Amino acid sequence: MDIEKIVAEVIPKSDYHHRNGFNNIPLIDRLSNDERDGLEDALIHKLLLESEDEIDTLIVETLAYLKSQKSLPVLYQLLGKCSENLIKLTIAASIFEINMDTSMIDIATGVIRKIDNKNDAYYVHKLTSAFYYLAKFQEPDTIKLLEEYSRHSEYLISYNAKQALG
Amino acid sequence: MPGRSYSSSTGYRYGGQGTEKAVNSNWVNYELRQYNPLLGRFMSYDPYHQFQSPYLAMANNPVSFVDPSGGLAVGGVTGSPQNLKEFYSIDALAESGYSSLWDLIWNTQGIMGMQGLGAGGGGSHAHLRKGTFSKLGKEMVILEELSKATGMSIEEVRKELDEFVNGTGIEIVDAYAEVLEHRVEGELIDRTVNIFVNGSFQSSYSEEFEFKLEGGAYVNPEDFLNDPNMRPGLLAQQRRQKQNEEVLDYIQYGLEGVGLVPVVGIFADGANALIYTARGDYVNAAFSTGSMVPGLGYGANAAKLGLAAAPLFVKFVDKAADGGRAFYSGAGTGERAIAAGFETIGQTRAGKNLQNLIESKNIPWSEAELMWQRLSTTWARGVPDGSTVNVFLNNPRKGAIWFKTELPILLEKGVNIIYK
Repeated sequence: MDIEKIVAEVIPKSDYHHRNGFNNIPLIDRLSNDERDGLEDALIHKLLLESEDEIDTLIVETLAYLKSQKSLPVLYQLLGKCSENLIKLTIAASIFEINMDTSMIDIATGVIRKIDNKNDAYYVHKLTSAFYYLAKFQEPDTIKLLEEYSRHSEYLISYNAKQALG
Repeated sequence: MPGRSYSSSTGYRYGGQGTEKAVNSNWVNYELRQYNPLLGRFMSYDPYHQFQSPYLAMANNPVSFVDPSGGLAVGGVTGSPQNLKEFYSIDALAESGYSSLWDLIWNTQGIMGMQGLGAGGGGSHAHLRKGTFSKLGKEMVILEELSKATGMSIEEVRKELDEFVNGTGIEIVDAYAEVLEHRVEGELIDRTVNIFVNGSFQSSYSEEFEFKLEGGAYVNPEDFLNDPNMRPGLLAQQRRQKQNEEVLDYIQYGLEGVGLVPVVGIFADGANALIYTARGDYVNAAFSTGSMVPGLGYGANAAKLGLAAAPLFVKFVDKAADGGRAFYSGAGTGERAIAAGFETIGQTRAGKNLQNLIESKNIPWSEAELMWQRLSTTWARGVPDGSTVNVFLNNPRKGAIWFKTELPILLEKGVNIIYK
């Protein structure tokens, strides 16, 4: 079992060429239990080495998909330190995915309201990205919020809110 | 005075620069070409292509320039940059009666042709032509324009531009000069069309139409287009337009990459908006200035620049179709698209610039993805309505840029999508 090789495949280099649309779920699904355990440990270790400004959200999302209980202390710690809204939302959604911590819902909706700021040149892109993390909660508050955005006047915002709702 | 008069059936034929006047036409024979003093234009094509107009004579400034051979105008200001700098001081502008440097440039001959400008200086209509201005002159035009647009002082604008250039390695000054010149070229072309359609003389900005109107022979477009004497000028203009498009492409894609970067992107976005405006592409111009709308986070100066550019958006013309453009999403799809001979976003100048920027600044993927998403928005919006694009997909994740941005834009534009 070559964990380094698995990690390199599951978490490829973080550039556009390797990450554009990259989906590691099929790769993870093919792993044995031992390989998944090894991957989990390696990713937690990797996360511990990253500063809050350089968190690779693909690692966080992968740990959530692995339902990694072991990663929770690290994720909570990162959530407390992280100041970047989209990363915060990713971590909150991932924690919720692992342990259904409902306190994450308020954090998520709070993040949405913060990034809905037309003064930010990237606000459309941030919002559209955020919707897909918000959709992971499948809770009344988050669904209601997405429904509101599905009626937004900005085409890309309403389109993505509808897509996130499914 | 008795005995001192002179008369001849053909008139005195030598004057000006010692050249001989043709007997029947009053045209003047220079060594290489004939000159029509009535029009102030040579009557045949410039063999050396000194100016963009092939018929322009004496650099449009017979006071400062001579052209002994009929092929090359010489003379004008050849002073040091320091002299030019002094020449372009704001005080000098005010004294000369021009409200701005732009006004001065527009109403005179450009740096090469301007000499001894004093109070109430000359104001003959002339052409702003590529190659007419020194780099310093271009820089001064840029600084003046941006200063007016932003309300910043010349020094502040210069500082911002310097920081921009230092930050990216891009010759932004050259880029801006191109932008400004092309904006004027665009106006010239528009004026030409207007004059042509209206059939009456309205300005002296188009030498081809001056000729037409002075000669009085052309009354409709067909006559003009079918006249073999006019075709070289027309073809030259078409060639210029094609070259302009290529230059605009180069600058535009280059700037879009850096235009995505907060702080340093302020001026890049402004330049991009002007390019789009020169091309008549309203939608993309609006996009480019989107980040400069008041309060959008780039600061008040950027907002002012955006507003200054806004009134220039006058019409919408689709950009040229780009049949080789492909989208991709998912592992290995970029390689497949390139191997199949398509152009991907990463191969564009903007894509390369962005990639270099992300690498050089070590921008984390969470932030870089937003930059790519924004560039992808432009990439998708650049696809002509109703055209066909090729898309390479490999099980992309739900929140992929393809699903979030590219696909909805293409759907909205009615683009046919071929999945590979």
